[in-house]
Amino acid sequence: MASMRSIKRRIRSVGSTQQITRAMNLVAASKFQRAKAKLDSARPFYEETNCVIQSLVAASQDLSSPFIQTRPVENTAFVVISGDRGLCGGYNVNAAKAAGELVAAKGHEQIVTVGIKARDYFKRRKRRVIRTYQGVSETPFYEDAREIGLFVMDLYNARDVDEVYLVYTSFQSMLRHTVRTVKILPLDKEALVGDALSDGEALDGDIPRKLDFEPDAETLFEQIIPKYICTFIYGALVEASVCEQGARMTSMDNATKNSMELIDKFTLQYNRARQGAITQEITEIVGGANALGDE
Amino acid sequence: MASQKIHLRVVTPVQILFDEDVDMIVLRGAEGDMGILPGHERRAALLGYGTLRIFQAGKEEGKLAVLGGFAEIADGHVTVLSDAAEWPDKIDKSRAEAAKKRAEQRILQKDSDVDMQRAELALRRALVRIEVSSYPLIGARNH
Repeated sequence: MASMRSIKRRIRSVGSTQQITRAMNLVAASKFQRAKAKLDSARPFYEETNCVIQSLVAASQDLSSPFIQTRPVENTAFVVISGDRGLCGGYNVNAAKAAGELVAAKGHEQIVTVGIKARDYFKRRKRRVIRTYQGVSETPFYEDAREIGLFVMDLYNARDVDEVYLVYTSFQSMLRHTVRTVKILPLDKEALVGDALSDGEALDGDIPRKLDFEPDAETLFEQIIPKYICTFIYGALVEASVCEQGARMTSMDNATKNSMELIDKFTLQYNRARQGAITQEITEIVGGANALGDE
Repeated sequence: MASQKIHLRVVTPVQILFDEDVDMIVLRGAEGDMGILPGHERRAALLGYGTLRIFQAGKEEGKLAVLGGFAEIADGHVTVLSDAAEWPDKIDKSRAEAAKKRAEQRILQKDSDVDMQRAELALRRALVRIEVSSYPLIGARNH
């Protein structure tokens, strides 16, 4: 059995780890609340933009824009959203892995990562990471999303890439985060209109939705699509940040619980060892006294 | 029968700025000011940098600085989607002044075409912000 001193030392060491994990849990919990509020306030804009785009696409069927035209795919860009920091369970790995599978399947990749963790993942696998955004994932701002959006649109318009995928973690509930992969460029026209139809509310009776455009549909479209993409990226960033904090909360909570278990176990061991030592001492004293008495 | 009010929603990526029924709206489209009354035809319009004016009960209720974006007008409601829209009291006037100076300097220096365009846009944004920030906040908006 381990000596009392070494058990005592382990109890203390687990205890201080526990203090850290507990503090991280609390910090993550408050950041989670903030991120969640941000997500809630980001949603209306995204939904409204989506709505406008849908009616735009629906109202002008013959619209042609490079953003919705598919072309033969040679190079593919991936925007992978992960965290900058670890200690959040499988959050970073899951996103990176899902993206990694897609990258392996597509080849000719150009990877844009948000967060250091995804960058490291792809660097280690010798994949082409062309750009990394740091310090964004925890508290994303719309400006960050805009920068990323403009960057990938430049790539797309310059024909450096023919497709752009966005990989991020979507927030279902506190315990359920799923990695989602969305093709953001070129936009899928059918899916856009299809959404509008399945939504139901977009259709007001049988009146055909005729829309007037100012200045004209083409110009409007050219202006709105980039906004839409940026908004989408912003939504994904915010959602991923909620997931990151949520994942960190859960994993730190687990760590705190585990350390409590460990401390209990070690305390039991310690008490046993202490009792054993006392028993032994008594035996020794009794033995000694007996030996003296015999003389 | 068209209702006598029109529902206006002003939404930015970070918040909903306005969400109420109003009498009339004047907004700055890409091709000039546009007044919108109840029963306006369906229209999607690109917005320029300018002031969005809200009229309620025959008088002006409030002004907003709207910096780009677009508006959808349909069936008695108007949705203004903008990257940046601000109430007069939320505008940092000194920052706008500084941005104006910076942009003016850039225009004077005449670096390259791209920079010129960006500087001009920045200047226009700053001018709108300065203009709107000088307006009082009419009506007690709960924002």
